[in-house]
Amino acid sequence: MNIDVTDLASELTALADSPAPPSAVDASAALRAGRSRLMRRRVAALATGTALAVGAGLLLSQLPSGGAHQVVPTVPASPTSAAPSPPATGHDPLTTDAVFGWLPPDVTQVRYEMAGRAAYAEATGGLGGVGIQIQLMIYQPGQKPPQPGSGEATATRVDAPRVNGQPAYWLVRNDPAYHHDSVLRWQLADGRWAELNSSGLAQNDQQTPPRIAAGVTEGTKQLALPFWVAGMPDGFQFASAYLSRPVGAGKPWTAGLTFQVGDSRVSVDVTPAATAGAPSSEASGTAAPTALNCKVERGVRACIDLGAAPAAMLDQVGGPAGLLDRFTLLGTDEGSWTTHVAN
Amino acid sequence: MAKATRDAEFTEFVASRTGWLRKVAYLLCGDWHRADDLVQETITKLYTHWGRVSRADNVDGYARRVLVNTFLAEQRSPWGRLTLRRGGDVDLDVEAAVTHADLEASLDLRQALSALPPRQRAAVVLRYYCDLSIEQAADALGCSSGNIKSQTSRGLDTLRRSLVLRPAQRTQA
Repeated sequence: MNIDVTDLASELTALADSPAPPSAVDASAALRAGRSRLMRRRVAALATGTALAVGAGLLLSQLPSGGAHQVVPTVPASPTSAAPSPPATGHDPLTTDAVFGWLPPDVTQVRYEMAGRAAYAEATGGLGGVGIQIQLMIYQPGQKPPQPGSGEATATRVDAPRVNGQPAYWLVRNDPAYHHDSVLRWQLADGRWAELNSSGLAQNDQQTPPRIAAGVTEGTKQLALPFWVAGMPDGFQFASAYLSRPVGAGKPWTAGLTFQVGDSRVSVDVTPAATAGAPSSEASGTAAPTALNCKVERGVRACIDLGAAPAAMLDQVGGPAGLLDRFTLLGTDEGSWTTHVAN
Repeated sequence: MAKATRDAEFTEFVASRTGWLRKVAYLLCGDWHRADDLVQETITKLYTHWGRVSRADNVDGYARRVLVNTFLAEQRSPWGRLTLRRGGDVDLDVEAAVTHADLEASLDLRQALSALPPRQRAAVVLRYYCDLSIEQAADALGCSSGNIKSQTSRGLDTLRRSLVLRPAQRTQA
């Protein structure tokens, strides 16, 4: 066959038009992932120089009544053998300094994440479509939020009603593309500044963010995770940790760790084994769960997500199986989870 | 942008362009499920720059460039090359159930495309499926016009060799 340009164009069109499975492309998932990436960039930028402490935590279940979503549903314990306890010397890579109180009824998930010393909490939800996303971070003592004109995108500072009697203001972006986003900053009783980034709320909603802010409670807490890890080589540095929990009838919990190895990263994501598919970190999509990249213990599944990193980065831990062997999974009973995560 | 929100505009863009992006992605990678992954990553990247993207003169061109670059970046990753993220068997099952007169030819072309190095494949797809000029394709791939010419030329040569050797030519069907 002597292919010519016309043939090729028409054959390419025929190939592209060939029968295809239903699309798995999800605009809502892209929105959520995109927002989280934007938030990480923002937190990372702000964390340069002075650390941020942020938080929201398991104290949700201990908040006083009045919060519509303060109760985190418990997960049935898995009827499997007890896991070996971690050494008491292990540290927790996921610590929070504050918790959400009241949240809008649409919220179905609260996620806590810490990367290095920078961290944030995020509440997401909404039925179909775009959904809402509310991100909370708290500045370190003495650290002032960047003001308009000091690196922020073009924005204007507008006074807001005081939050719990403390000064507050809106940061109003001048870009009309951000009209459904709001940034509310307020001072906590201890003098630190808190910031709430909300998106997906009704345009010009000036009621919901202050109500969320008023419900935020300070309080440092280590978050227990459903696994512990030991025996990682020196080259594997803890880069980040997260725990995502359902509110009401939200999706099952997910937790994970990310290691930095040189310029590459590898994540291990953990979720109840009964959950369909593999646990998913939003960063890079997830490989199909296989014996190669996943393991199941005590009703919990752990899967490796290399994203775009080279598989060779796992050579020094004995490949994917070697990495998973270093994880002890603790089951679905939250009472068995540990704060001695990294050993 | 008037009263439209950024998210609503983004969602509308994705809804109207997903089919087209999937097709381009499929021609690039040869697997519908990987194509979905490529498009998912592409639209996520677009969202993180949506304020700028939405004001671009050619949003489709911007999206196409991000898609091609995402594909090429994945090809540079050994894990990306080795991992069938959602199971290629399902894809094959779907296609095996299809009886279509041109299916054999399409599969031949798909195999021939998959044999091309990624940049040659991208150049061929941009030039002959997306109908881009040499300059437009060069912009999408971030290279010179001369590079596009050579990539396309080599790609066409390889396709000709691959397709002329196939056992059952489409013209005989």
